[in-house]
Amino acid sequence: MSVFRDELLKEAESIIAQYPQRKAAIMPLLWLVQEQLGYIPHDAIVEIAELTGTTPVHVEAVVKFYEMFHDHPVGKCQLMLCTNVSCLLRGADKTLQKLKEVLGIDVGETTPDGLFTLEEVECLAACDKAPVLLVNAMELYENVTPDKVEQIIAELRQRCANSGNQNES
Amino acid sequence: MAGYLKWDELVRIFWGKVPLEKEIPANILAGTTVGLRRREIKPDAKKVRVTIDGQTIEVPEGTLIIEAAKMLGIDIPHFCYHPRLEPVGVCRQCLVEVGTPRRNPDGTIATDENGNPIIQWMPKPQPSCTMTVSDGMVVKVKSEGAEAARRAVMEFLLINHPLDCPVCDRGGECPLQNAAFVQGRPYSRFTEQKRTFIKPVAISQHIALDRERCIMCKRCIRFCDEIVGEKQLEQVERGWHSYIAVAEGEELDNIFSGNVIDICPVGALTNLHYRFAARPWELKRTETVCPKCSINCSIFADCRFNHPVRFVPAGENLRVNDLWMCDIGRFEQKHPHIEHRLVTPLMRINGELQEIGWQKALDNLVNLFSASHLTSPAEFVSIGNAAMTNEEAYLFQRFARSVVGSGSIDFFGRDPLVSELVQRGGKVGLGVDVYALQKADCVLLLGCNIYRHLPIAWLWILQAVKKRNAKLIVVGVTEDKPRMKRWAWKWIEELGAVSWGLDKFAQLLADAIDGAINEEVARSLGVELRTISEIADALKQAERPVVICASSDDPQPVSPETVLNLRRKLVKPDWDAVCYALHHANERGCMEAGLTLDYLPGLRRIGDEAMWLVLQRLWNDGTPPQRGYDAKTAMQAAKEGKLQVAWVIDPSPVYELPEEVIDAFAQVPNLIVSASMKTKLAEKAWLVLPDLTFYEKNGSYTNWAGTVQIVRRAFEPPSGARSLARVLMALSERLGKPMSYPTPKAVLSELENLRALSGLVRK
Repeated sequence: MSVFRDELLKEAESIIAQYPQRKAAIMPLLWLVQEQLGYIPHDAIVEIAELTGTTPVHVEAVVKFYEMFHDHPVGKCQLMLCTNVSCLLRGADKTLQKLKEVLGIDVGETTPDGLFTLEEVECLAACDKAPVLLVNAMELYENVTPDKVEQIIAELRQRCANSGNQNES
Repeated sequence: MAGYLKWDELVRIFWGKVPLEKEIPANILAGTTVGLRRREIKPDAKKVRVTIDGQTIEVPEGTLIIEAAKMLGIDIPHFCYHPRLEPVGVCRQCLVEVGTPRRNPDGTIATDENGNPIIQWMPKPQPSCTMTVSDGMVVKVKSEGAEAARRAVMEFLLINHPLDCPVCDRGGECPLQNAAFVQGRPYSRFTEQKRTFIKPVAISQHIALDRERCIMCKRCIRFCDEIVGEKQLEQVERGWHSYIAVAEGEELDNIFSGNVIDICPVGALTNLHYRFAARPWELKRTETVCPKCSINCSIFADCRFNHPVRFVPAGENLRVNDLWMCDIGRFEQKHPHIEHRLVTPLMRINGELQEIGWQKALDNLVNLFSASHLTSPAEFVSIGNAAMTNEEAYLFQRFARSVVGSGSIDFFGRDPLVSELVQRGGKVGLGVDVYALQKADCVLLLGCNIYRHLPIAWLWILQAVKKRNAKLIVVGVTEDKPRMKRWAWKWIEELGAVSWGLDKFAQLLADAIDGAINEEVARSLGVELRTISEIADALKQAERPVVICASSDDPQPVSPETVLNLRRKLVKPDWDAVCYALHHANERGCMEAGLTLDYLPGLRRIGDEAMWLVLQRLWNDGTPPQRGYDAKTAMQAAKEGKLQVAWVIDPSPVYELPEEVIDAFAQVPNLIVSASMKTKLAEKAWLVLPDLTFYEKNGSYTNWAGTVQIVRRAFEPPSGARSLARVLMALSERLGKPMSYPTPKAVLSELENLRALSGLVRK
């Protein structure tokens, strides 16, 4: 096993032991891999299938079902902009356009410096503050009108750079 | 005499449809109407009454509404429901209105002033494929509400469907097309852009996937998971983005993968070999059997312009293959193009094969056979093959035995170990139907990879393991390990380096069943004593044990003595499934038709005087000829130049003869070859007779389990090619000892009588 070895394998086994069925550990193991590598490579999918006694295609289907799992490398900041009805009525399309311009990428792409990935998502359940932008599945920016975009990006860039420094030190 | 059947019964069994109820006990496989789900319903299941569109029927509790409707002859449109798969209710096409009687607080049924029960209707239409019936239930299929719901579902299903029926292989036999025609709108209200995908994608070397056409019924996913037991397909992504896929870098490569094409209710999964080959309405469909292995699945040979373009399972065969067939039969059958066929007899004149026509060919044969010296065994051998029909085999041996008077008879594909087994009093093949293998409770595979060689047998054994928790023990199989091992209770891959190790293991097991384990042998084989005693106990306690042994076509065979020993210990009055695996299509049929050196038709010993009396009456002649050569000794004699005349039937294209056989028979000066095309053997012949290919023959095949099935002509042979039976009958007449049968059926009935006389017909 190339992804699950040493410490990680031990942790995986302890996660599997928590469930009555091995199959139930698929999602926690996927989170584990994503925490470590930032995304879920195909090798990890095959290994998780082996660990949980199922087939690779089954694990792959889980990865592709949830937007939160990434099967290819993504940026440090994942920007998920809602373009569902409420947000769209409040101008999410213009915000998206602005985001694309500022970042210089299209939806689903990552900036060359590896900082930002832009994604279009469905309703984030904050329609009263539409349009909304979710960052790294953690932090919600509300009322994101096009004029706020540049400021948000600058802020995030700053933060990413800082966190990068912290990691290095 | 044991097993003797009356003539009428024979005819009924082999030419009429056998009533299902007699073959399979109702408690094991429930469902009485064709196309219903076959699953376990307890024999004492409560009966409930359900009214569908005004008709009332009584069905066992647990029956689905869609099945109850089918019993009444009401077809509810459906896509995801399939009679052999567990219901999921994902396509929503089978919506109906359902009501149940209102009950009073005391549990009695509430009635109105006229005494009729008051029906409470469910507020929304219900999927009839997941809802089981309950007592007093009332269902409306053709009501306005139900029809409106189904029309709406159909409109939704068609939103992303490309409607490219004119260029779709499924067009013309497509359930979605039919349903849309019946209840769809004549025009589309959807003006937005449809979802598109890159298409087609090859998901294996045989199957193309068109994701745009897919309606997400998941039948293919469920088939691979539930029936084949290998989850190779999945639905990936979500909502309207979702599509069917195999894992990255993998193929849909299980041996039953082709069945997903048949069960796909749209044209999403198509056969790459049949791609754009024909439209369904151009096909001439013939029900026949598959000649690729000794299971003999019922198949439809679909032909266009006198050429088979595809093979699909022929509906419900509840003695052999049910609705499925393997990829070997489906994709790997080759049929020679008309240009490559032989259409006139060839004869070697001045060292060259020249066309001579049938008249001259028969003249030459008559001259040859009227020479009296041919009756000496050294002079003439006739060797058929395991792809011949029962009728050809019977006529061929009758020709040799009674017309020529030669006793050198054999066929390529005969297993010497099986012959030896018969000699010691064993049986040729399985003693129960192939389909009945799913009733097994303990299965031992000795060195035979049935996944590859008898796929349908594996499928039924797998069902026994999956659904009835049968114990599967696999010994000495190395191929296809990842597919078989996960189902095995015990998996013993390698035995110690001992000659006939597998046989020794089987012998050890036979002794262990009696409670005596030879520890020394066990140690030399490297098997733990505990394992052996566990396996022996499992076999001993099993009510329906199955033991399939490797024969001489497998890497390491089991000896006939051991097979017999195991059989003696494990056979039950109504269950006899300890046997060799046969590898060729009609191996059993050819043996039982008497196409062997040592056996007469009906597997009677060659020296059986009573049988000869019967045969003399039937054949108007037939003095027992001298014992001659079998295929192996004939090859040796041919190499040494002792053989003068040999008549060999070439089995291509069903299977090819090995090089050594061709080289040996090339030495025979007067080599007669019946072949459908110019094979390597035909090129070495003195006289070549154009034969029919399998799909041009009429006759019958006997499978591994002894089930006799009809082989039908799928298309007309090229003029000039004559059936072997016709040639043999013409020759015998010219030789003054006529064999005349009006039809293949007449030959089969004679043969069946002889088989019945020997107790070979299983009731």
